[in-house]
Amino acid sequence: MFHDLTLDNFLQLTVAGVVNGSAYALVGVAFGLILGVTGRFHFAFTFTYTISAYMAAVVGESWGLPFWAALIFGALVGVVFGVLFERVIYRPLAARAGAYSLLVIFVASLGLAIIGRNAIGLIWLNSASKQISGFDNLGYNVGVVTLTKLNILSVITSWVLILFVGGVLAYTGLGRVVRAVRVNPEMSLVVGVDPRTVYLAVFAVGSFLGGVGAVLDATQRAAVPDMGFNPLFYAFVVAFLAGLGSSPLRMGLVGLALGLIESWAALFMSTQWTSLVVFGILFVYVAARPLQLSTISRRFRPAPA
Amino acid sequence: MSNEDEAREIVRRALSRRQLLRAVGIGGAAVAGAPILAACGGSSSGGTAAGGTGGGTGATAADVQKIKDYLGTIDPKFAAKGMKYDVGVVLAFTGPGAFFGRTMSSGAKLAAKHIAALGGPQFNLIFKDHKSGDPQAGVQAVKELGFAKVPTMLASYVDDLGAMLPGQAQYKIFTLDGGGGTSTFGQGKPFFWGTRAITPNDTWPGTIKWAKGKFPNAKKISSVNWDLGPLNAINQNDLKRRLTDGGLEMGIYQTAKIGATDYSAALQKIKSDKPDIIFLGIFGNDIGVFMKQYVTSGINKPVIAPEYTQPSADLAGSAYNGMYLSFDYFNGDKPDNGWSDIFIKEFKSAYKTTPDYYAANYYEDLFAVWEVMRRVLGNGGNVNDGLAMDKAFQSKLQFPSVYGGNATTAGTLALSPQNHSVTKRPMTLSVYKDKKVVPLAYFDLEAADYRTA
Repeated sequence: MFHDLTLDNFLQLTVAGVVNGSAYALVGVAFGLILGVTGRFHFAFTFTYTISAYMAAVVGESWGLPFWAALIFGALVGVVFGVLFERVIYRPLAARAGAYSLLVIFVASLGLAIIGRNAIGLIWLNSASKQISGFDNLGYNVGVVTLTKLNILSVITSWVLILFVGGVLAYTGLGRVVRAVRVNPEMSLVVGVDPRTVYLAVFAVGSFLGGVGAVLDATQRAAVPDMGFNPLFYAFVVAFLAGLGSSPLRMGLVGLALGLIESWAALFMSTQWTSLVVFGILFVYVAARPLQLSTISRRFRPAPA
Repeated sequence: MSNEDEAREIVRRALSRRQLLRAVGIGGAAVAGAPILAACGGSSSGGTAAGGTGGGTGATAADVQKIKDYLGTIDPKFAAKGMKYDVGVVLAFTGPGAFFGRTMSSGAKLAAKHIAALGGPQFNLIFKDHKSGDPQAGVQAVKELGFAKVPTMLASYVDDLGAMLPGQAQYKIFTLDGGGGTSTFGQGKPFFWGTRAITPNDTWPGTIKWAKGKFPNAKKISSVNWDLGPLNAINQNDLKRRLTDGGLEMGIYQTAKIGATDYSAALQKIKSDKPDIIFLGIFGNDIGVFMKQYVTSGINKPVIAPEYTQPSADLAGSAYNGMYLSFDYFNGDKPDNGWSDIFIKEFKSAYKTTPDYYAANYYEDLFAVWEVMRRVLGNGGNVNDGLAMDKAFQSKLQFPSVYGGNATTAGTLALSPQNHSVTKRPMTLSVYKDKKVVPLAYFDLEAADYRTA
């Protein structure tokens, strides 16, 4: 059982854990922000995530955009879809379903995710997987550890974005508005803040963060129609473990911790089981500290008309 | 008011029926619509899409008629001309292996068209989706085919990783698998026959022989394989036996989930195992995903993968350069015999791409089904009885093939009555270089007929 427990393995797996954990942190913050502020179980996050990666691949390939431009373009496409979903689908559904909007939006969002996945599969039927071009990934040996240029870029990008969003929420007027809406949308309306606008902004920011994560993910692997589902599950875990109202920094650190734990688990078990450790942690957490559904359900009221 | 009535009243107050229907309708339509969307786009579909024999044909009718020359004598009395005949085709149409479903079904559809043109039956191909190895989908598919009394089917993924075997035995459905073959765990199972080499196992003797020549100092082989649960031990033992027979040493046998995207931990385990060569027992796009991460992992050892598919190569990009590939050898650019020449021309015309060995296998498999039908009819039997089909199949385990042969004679697809797998199959060890697969060695089962390119 412990034959893999060597310093070389530990160090390399730590690097892998930091890289993966940073990616979990970014999608966790993205999804947690949307869920925490708007109360929408935005399962179609999988679609905005995936379409961002595909569009980055397409514009990189067809228009010859450099990597960074393609990344931003892809993330912005994710923003467009995220905002559209909130404005055109979730908001009207929430207004009609009242206190039951949790279920209704969840089901609608699940449907959107499945339609989106299949639509992507249809659009790119002949070449279901797309590569992100324009990034020349290189491997570096640092002592016994190997890491890549993309690893470094992903970690830095993820944490810069997480800290930026955290800073905006904590120290700016916009952040205060978002926090106010998160705590009490009705009261916010009374003092002149329209929660609906804030919801749209949150969907935009969350989709952008997710989109950036998706493009980085696809650069490491490839854009495939199913690529959004796994990150969504990790984002769920991060958001719930960190707490829906917690700061992006806290969510990020939880994501990082998950990545490290998952990676270190490979020291003791076969690698295909390590993701179970993450969900095991969630299970234990939920069992030991039941979710405060009353506080969550408050968020599923429709935004004031 | 009872508790039940009270609950109903609460729900009624909270959510009117109209609201509920609308909300559920949107979600339901979305969920229900997804498979329909998926079905529209593929050359075949999830769910039942009967009658698919599409695909244009660019070769002349005379060309197609020439196929008769390679099939041997066909007695028109037993050719089942015009007979509607159901064949279940259970493939991966969705999921990470959707590519396989497309190419395999294309081969089967072209065969159906050719057979009809040759005066054979009208095959009604009933496509079903096992979602790239989902056992529940496979069980459901075989159950539906069984209820519909479909006597014959074409399968893939080693009968959906074995999930369909019990159903085929129960409903007596004669089955050919040209995609996954029998592997080690589907051998000798009733009604189930593998019409390709057992992969990757059958490639190992030839691959080991080549590797010992190319890398004489190599000793230790590590491997990364699809996680097949309790079946892992069978494959692991088989690899160990073959490596030992070849004078090599078995390193770590690492397993990974089908469709895995993160190989960082697996690569570290491989790295610490210090192998001389790495054998892959993963398939489809998983190879491309693995290679993208492998090339920056700091492990600089030869990798030998068990198949070549264009989507995986596209996905991996330059990471495929220098990778070795060992798999069934169907040369889509240089036909082995006159029949495969016509098949390749027709396939290119219909689907605008060169057929791979998966397309070739399903193409010739349907021809084998037709021959079995002729045998059954010749014996006065019932072709809608899977048992009769299976018996007729076993009466002579040899069929014309698009593999092997020469300009005037088709090759032979021959199977073993013991393990239900092929007894001969051309294979190659190739290298991927500058976006091309370049053969380095050719061999057959157990490294027979080994020769370098």
